[in-house]
Amino acid sequence: MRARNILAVMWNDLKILRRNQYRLIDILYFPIITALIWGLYATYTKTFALEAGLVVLISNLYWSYSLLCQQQSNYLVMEDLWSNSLRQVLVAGITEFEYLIAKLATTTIGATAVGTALLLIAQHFGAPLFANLHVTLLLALAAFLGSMALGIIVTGIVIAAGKEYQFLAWSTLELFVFFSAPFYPADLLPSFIRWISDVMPFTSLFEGARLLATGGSVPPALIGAALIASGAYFILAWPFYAWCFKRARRSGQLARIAT
Amino acid sequence: MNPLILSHVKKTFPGKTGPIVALRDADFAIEEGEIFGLLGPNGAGKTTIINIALNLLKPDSGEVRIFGEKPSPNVLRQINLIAGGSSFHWAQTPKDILTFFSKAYHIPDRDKKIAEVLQKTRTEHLQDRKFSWLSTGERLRVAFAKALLNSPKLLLMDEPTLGLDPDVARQIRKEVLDLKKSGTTILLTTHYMHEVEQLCDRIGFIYRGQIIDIGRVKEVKLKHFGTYDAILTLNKKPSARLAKDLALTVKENKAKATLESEDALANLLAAVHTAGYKIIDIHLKKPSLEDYFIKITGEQQ
Ligand SMILES: Nc1ncnc2c1ncn2[C@@H]1O[C@H](COP(=O)(O)OP(=O)(O)O)[C@@H](O)[C@H]1O
Ligand SMILES: [Mg+2]
Repeated sequence: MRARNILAVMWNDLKILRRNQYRLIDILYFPIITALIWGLYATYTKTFALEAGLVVLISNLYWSYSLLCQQQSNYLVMEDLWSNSLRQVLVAGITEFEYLIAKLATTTIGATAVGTALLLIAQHFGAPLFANLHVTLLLALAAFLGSMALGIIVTGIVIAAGKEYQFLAWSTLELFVFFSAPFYPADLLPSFIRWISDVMPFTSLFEGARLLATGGSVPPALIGAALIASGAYFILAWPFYAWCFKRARRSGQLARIAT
Repeated sequence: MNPLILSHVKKTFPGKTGPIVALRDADFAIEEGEIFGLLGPNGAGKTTIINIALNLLKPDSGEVRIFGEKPSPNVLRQINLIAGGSSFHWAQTPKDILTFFSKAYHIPDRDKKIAEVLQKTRTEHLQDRKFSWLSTGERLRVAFAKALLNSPKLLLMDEPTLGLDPDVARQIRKEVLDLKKSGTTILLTTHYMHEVEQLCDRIGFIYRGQIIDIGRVKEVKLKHFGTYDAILTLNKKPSARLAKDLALTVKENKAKATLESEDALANLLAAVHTAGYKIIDIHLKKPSLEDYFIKITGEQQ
């Protein structure tokens, strides 16, 4: 593992972003407009459903942030596939791990900036986030780990199974969020799928987010559960990614996808 | 130390109607300083060999060694690749591309090196244009510039002139020869016969995953076309005696001889001259690799 290789790939991605600024629309526009919509909704619902608006606003904050992390990390890889340039990168002696770490690090820079903006917007519309800053940030860490894990897994699947699977970059998080019960308790899910929410990375996170919104205190055990669930995904994602690369080297998929 | 050795490399891809055998038993070595041409029709397995050498593909069995080592990241940084239709991100400029790769290849004095390769490949005027605006030939020049960044000891070229107009292709071939002069070993894959005839010291002829023949271009040609025809136009019709002595086929004042070596040609010319004839024109009908290619593929089918 060489830091200079990671920095080289990050430099390259940031350069591409500068040359290709419409990409900023993806990164800034959707999360911020969505946050404003739910912020105004929260202002409106204050008059008749005091906390409902805040539940949506805060849950959505974490959702948007997670989506940003997962999608942007995938997007950075996908752009190398669309431009048929991954091969050049790999044959320059950059390992798949250096490559992945660079993609995640570049994503983190953008996600931190936008995440901070979302936090300020939500606070502005009455979400009590600064008052519970450490809880807010620990839940954000869980969101970060879980969504980056999904980003790594999707990248692995696309590398091993082919470009056809890039639709996962746009659809995966939606499904995981559904099963993680964002605006509603997991009990509302039909009983035969309820168990799925137990193994989702974001279930405890959203539970914590709802408690934040309704002014309840968030028990440390819940925060711990959120971090353990998303952390487990994050840890398991790496060997999965390594396995996908190994498989793709054998099957010829890597050679095909990289050129 | 051989720049590249493949020993008994086999590779099969899963296919819808059963496995596709891409390499049956690729076993050859490239010598230091040579241009080695891997010649074969589409689908013969050329790119598969390159991908295996670059660790983009794991062989089912057999081994690859680059300067005696496995293709690790450290080894990869000492070699380079130019592939026809090479691509980089559409929004990047050649300058961006070269800066990134000089970082990736750990080039110490980046700006100097970049200026040098831009100059060598005559791409200075392109350096700030977007890659997507460049023509096919210009894109290849950029790929060339990238490949020169690390002054590779071994350069793999996968059909570099594919889709180029003849002028640009000729330029590229000239640059390949220049590179060889500077000491770079080159593996070139192509399905253009004239390209290997012009460029290569040795060739490996690959067909359906098998290297059928390997050797100096001339040897490989002579082996399969041991003889060639020389057609002499003389100042008068050769006598029956001369025709018999030299085994000539005569038609008017033209005489055709079938020869086996360069010496045989000298002997023929000397004999005709001694017999008192003037030689007005000589036409040698040597087989091209094209002929060779047709012959071999015909035999295999
Ligand atoms: N990555 C891959 N996945 C599946 N099949 C492949 C792959 N690469 C090559 N092949 C198959 O292997 C054979 C050899 O291909 P290739 O090495 O690309 O030939 P060439 O470069 O000589 O045209 C072909 O039948 C091709 O379809
Ligand atoms: Mg090929």
